[in-house]
Amino acid sequence: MAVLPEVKRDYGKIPIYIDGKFRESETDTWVGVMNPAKDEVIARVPFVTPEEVDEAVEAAVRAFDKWRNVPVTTRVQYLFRMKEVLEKHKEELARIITQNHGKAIDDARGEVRRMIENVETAIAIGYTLLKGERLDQIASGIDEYVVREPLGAFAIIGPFNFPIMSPFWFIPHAIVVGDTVVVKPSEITPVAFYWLNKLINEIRLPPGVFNVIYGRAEAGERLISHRDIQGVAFVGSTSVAKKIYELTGKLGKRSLLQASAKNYAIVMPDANIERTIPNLISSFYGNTGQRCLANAVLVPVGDAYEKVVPKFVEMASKLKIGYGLDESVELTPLVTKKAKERVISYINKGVEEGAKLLLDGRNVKVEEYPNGYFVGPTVFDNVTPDMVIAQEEIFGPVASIIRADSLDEAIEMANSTKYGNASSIFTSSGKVAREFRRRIIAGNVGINVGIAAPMAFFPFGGMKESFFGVVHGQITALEFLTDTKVVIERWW
Amino acid sequence: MEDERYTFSSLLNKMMEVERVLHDIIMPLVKQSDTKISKQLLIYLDSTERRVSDIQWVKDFVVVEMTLEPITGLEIDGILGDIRRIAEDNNIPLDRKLTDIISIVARLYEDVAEKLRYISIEASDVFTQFRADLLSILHRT
Repeated sequence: MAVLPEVKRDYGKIPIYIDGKFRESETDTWVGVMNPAKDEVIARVPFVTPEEVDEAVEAAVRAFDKWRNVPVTTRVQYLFRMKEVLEKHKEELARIITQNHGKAIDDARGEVRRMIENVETAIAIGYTLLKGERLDQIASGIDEYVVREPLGAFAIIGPFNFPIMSPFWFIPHAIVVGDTVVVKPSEITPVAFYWLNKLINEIRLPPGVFNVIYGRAEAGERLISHRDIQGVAFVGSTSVAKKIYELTGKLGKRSLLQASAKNYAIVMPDANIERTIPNLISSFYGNTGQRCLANAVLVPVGDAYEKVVPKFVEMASKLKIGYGLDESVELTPLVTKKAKERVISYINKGVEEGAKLLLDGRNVKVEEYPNGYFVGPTVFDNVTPDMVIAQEEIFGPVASIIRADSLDEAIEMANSTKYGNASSIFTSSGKVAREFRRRIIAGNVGINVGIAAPMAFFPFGGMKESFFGVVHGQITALEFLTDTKVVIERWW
Repeated sequence: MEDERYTFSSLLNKMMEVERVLHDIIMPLVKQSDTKISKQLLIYLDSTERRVSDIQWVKDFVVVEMTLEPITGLEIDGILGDIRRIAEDNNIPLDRKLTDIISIVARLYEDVAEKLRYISIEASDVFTQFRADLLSILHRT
């Protein structure tokens, strides 16, 4: 099948965006941004200077006083314009995501759609949830009401695996409530966010409402530590989330930190196998396993093993591997060479630990893309819950199979990891599903759904070391981005 | 022989290709006669590009997580081969060829609609409608 055209071969030096203007960073540190299918540089990203971080925050702070006073109906209009421009350019955004991140084009289209749904949800928030509450006559002649108020400038730090969707769990919400933002997108996959930035520039938000810088941990720390940043929304690894949680705790700032995962998929003997297998395949191998909602451990219960595992392995073995811009491709490269090495080291570790390789993706070759960062579909059997491959997040196309004799045992195993992002069960029994739903410690629960991805108009869950903070992203970001003022009012 | 496998997008691409291939196979047949079924099929073939555009529209419109679930069990290339064989078989009367082809294509639409039902009801409905349109030719003639 033909490969879809790339939007551009080379995107050049990615500019920063401060106070409504693009400009080249003054940094001396520029790093090549890769196309992981081809191992070729497609852009250069700056690691901004500390002064540029400060400038971005100062622009956001200056903009806040005006922006919070812009009527909500006007703020909503900017989001309508944003939706319009994103709809118009959704295909090119998807292709750029694929070109830079590597994921299959259908996955990238899904990411863009979910991003736009967050804009739509923020519009809905502006017209509804932002209104607060009121109760007249709480005492004689006294009324009481709650006003939601924006807080100021927020830092938003995005992940490499959903480079434009995850920051949008917060950006449109911040805009509609009257906050301003400084975004630090992933430095590994910044190209689509840069393209998005160009589109947002077209809607002419007032200067300083939306600012973008690029960099690594140093830039992130400087941004979070800036005294005028009110809070930090972050999506990424647990190790970084813990550091940010500690830092924001010390500084007395809000934080909302979505982190790593190790998701279990439990298959009961009564599951609809024909429907379950393709769903599992999509969950384990979609986005090459680089999803915080991807299932990583398959737990067939009782004789579900015989029904599921041979078919799962067979279907996995036939996945078409290649460049994500080919619409027939199902498994795509890992995001970086380092990520590929990391996944292979986990596969080696699984072999050392005594797990049995049913399918080994370490030496996969993709003829047309010999330099791509590909790892083929991999399946381990005879995994035990104490093994590293059952406990740590691999973030690659690796399925570990652990057999269980009962639902109780399966739930106990799933709950034994330090993470609690997502978990799925496949069954025909409502009773079993209910039992699972009540006992599983996971923020996103799938019942006959392998990727338990909450829509924008629901919160994005996460428990244990998969989440740090109090309120979650997407619709409930409203709580994070505003504070409530309670007014008790009497007029004589 | 390797099983045919599709992603959501690649199946819809294939079905757009199928529409055009069917047009090229059937058009010479309907031009050979002036029967009621030929006339009806001619009208149907004239709207090939509208059907292609309907498929393209639903492909652009539908974006769901399930679009990467492998779709297997369809043998579209084999079905096109059968249709070609029927079209080229000089022993089959023309109207019979056309009714046979209509039945085969209607079954293909039904199978595709069934496969897509769990991924996207909108996409499934497109092919259910195509099937109904095609079968109505048989009912009218």
